[in-house]
Amino acid sequence: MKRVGNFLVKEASLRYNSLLAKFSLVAYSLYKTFSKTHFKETRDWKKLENTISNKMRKVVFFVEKEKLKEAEPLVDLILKKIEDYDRGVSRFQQSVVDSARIKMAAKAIGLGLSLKAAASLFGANEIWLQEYRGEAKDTSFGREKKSINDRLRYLE
Amino acid sequence: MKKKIIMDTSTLISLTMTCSSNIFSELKNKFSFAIPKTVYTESVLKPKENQKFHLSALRLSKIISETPFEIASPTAQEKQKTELFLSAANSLFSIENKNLNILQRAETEAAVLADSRNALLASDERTLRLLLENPFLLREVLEKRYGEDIEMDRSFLEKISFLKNLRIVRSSELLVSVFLKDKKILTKEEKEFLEASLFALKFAGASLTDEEIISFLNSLNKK
Repeated sequence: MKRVGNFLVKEASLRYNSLLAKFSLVAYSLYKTFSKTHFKETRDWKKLENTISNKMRKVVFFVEKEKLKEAEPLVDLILKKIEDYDRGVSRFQQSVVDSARIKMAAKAIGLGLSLKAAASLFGANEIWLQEYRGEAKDTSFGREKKSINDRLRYLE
Repeated sequence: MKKKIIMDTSTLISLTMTCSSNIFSELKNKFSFAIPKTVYTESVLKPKENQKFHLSALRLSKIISETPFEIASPTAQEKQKTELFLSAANSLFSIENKNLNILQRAETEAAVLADSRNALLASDERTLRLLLENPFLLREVLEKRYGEDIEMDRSFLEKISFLKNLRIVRSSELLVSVFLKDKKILTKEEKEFLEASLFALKFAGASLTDEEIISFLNSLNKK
């Protein structure tokens, strides 16, 4: 699921496609949800699994028929189901879907999208996203042409 | 006459998150500030709807009204320029004929407003800066990240070139200018404070590198 999520982020960023972005969010959210053992111990776990499976089958059906407009609301619904479930059992304030939005948008920034472009594509909160990016190690954008001293001259 | 600075959301976020937004009370003696209406909506109105960011939004709202910041709406011509720039910027790079949409309207509008009003742009947004100041480096970065050849259509590079001389500052320079003011030498304590503040901005996502912070601090020692 994590690998699928990462693949989809790249495709979503390349095509600036909201449906692919949402698929990546579903993949990453499910990866996180499945990795939390205490989630599976709750009564509603089986119900969630069935709901997601049913909705996913419908999504696949629509995608195969190239009816993407019909598929997108179902993907939204899957994300909402995961989020609602997570809010009920998680120990964190930030939902697993919100975390996915930040993680995936941060990856999209790494792929060259601006903060706003990435936030908008993945529905991430811009402040959270900038904060998260600040904590990430970043090596490959290279050194900018203009230094702090160069830019300070504009303010003189 | 005061120099004008157009603020982008990214810079306001960096300064508010590091509790550095009080620098505007100093800067307002030398500069006048404006923010595009779209930036105001993103930095103040939207965060007010979220409990986690409500306080930051209120702080910012207070600074905007007290400094004061002009809330700028683009003219018809500026709107047209924004669309032209946005469309060219998002058609400049492509992979297998798929254009890379790298920018959004709000940050583009801030850049266009700064250019047409002869102002500086304050932006911590790295993609926009690289696109304007070093598009070839941006292409290299994109190639590395996608692991594929990136095509660059020079005709679009020409179309965005009207902004290439835009003077861009970041939250870091705004902060440093307040620290330094007319001082020739900083005390050890002041230097330590400045270093901590610059790293705080970096961790708040101001897209600064360790290397450039250290290089700048070393340059202070030589002054």
